[in-house]
Amino acid sequence: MGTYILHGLILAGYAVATVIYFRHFWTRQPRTGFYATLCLVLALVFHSAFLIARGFESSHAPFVGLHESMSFFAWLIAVVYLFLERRFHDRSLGVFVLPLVLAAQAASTAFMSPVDPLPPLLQSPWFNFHVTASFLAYAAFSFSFITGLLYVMQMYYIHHRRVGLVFSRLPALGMLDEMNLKATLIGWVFLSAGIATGIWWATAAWDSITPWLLDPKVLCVMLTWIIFTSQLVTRYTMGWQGERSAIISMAGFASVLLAYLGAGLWTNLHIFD
Amino acid sequence: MHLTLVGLSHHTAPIDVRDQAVLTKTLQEKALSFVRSSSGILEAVLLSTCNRSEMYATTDEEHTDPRPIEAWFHEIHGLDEGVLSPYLYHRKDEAVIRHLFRVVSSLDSLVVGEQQILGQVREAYMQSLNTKTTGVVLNRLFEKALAVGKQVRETTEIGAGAVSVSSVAVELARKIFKDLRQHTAMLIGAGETGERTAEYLVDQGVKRLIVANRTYERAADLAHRYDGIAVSLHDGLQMISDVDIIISSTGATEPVLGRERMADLMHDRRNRPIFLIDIAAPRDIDPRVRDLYNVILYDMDDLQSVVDDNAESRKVEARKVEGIVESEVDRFLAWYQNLAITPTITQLRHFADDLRHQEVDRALAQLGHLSEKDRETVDKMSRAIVNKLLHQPTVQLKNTADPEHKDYHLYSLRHLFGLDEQGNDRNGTGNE
Repeated sequence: MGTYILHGLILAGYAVATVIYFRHFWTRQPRTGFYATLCLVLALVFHSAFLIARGFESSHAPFVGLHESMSFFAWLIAVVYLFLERRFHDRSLGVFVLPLVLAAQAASTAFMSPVDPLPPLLQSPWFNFHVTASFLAYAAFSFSFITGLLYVMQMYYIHHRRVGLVFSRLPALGMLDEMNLKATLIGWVFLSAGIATGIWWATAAWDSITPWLLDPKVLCVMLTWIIFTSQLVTRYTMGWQGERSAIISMAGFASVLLAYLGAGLWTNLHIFD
Repeated sequence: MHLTLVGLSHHTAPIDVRDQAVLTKTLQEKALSFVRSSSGILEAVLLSTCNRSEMYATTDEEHTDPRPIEAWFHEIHGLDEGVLSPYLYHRKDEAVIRHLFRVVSSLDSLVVGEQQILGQVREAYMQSLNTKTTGVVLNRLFEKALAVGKQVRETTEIGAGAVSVSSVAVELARKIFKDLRQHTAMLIGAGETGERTAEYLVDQGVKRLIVANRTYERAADLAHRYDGIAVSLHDGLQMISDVDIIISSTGATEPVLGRERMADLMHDRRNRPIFLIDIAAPRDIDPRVRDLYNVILYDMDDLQSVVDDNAESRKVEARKVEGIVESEVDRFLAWYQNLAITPTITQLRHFADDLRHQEVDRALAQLGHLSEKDRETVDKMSRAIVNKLLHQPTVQLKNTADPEHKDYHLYSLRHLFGLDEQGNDRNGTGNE
């Protein structure tokens, strides 16, 4: 019963915060902005409490299975967003980030499941490191996606002379491009670390490489890595900054979703993360 | 007490008349000291901008005629009596409140939604505060006006979106580049709009301004004015690969910047974004450069269409602002009308108290045998009668909502008790 109430509180918190962020986007009233942030912080407090409680209950880090990992993912994005908001004194990204947080947390609630004992395969010190690195990468790529999407939108408005209200609320192209690049760089480092630990761990767990190398999830993650690597390479060698870079990062995020959700449906190795 | 406004603005006076009626700072100080010494004018604030010269004042009952203020308007500027009269407007009471609230909300401005007026009203008020020519009414009126101006800007989009070609161009530059301080701009050619755009960019802290012109002297002159670097047109075109914003307004008949040339330049720039502002007619930049990656081109038509869109949305917002102004006028009026009652009630009380004193003193003089305690009882009784007698009319007067009824009651009260007759005005309509 307590769990349901906590989940309700978290969801309600994010939902109300999303609404207030939208309101603030239109009205730009400082007071509304303050309430938006306050609401987000409250939701995060409940959310953190849930993750900690869940961790103690299961006695492993709270990202095993869809229910936990989705929730952890939502929490991570919300925390990173809050940090960026404080850092840049800009709430305009909130209306794009909060729906993502809300969706991830809602999905987590929908997949609610009792605590599972950790399967023997995952009872390894590599597990926490591998999963944490991967999730940090996913969270960073979410910001690549959002800033990339906003860049494309902003560029569309400028090219089509539709420089109205939404245009005036969004950050400058240069700012979005810079945030997109930084998010991709951070994501790329963590994804590389996640892949490296994964390979290390897999070679230790299996004698041959075929069972894990052909795992759909592994393949999707490799694709993700290739896409984001190409974003960085084309940028630095061919001057593909701006819109092209933004579009590649959006494709990269699609690949993340595929790796995380799609591959989960037919993989047999990665069912637990 | 009455609120009075005499002034002129771009709505009533052409620019040469407005220039004659400017209230410079020294004039303002003189004017305020004049106001202080003149009889009948209780408070005054002078508001002077490039588009308006106005005097807000409160006067006592006998000096509601605006003509002395009008005469003063001429005198202070050394003009013959009547020269400004056709351009001056007068407002009284409620209309003054509405006028000031509309002014501070920029609804009365030449460019609706402009920002400066709020600061100008604040400055005018501060100056009058310093010279101590304001009192209860104007203090409250201007404090409220400033709050309305702030509220209007915070809760509506009246000031959103630039409404001149040059400011639209600068607003776009700010939405393209993260920080203008890291970017260089180049002005090619001359012309008012181009120069103003360059000036705004410099105001916004652009890292460097390069001025390129066919005649180097002209370039040097402009560069000197905006703290930039002057180059010849030929050299300027060579430097484009290091420039991120170009404002082009030459009188050339052939395009200054062709597509091929721009493609080469973008290669040299490694595709760093560039913002081209073409305000020349005929155009200086080949419109086909739009197809090049990371080239953003706005010509005069593009900028004008943005200006039109923004002006249109300001019109829509202006209606919202009118609504806010109206409700604030109503709220202020409620306070203002009660203010007229307060001095009357005070006067009435003093009148009654004086009578009471006279009668009590006379009675007690004949009742010398009374003890101290008995004398106090008589005094107390007289107070109670006065208080009870005046209680009901006071309450009724304060509670009358309809301003016309209120005025009528006030008039009757003053008339029936003879409050405006000689000898009864010592606690009259002064400031409280």
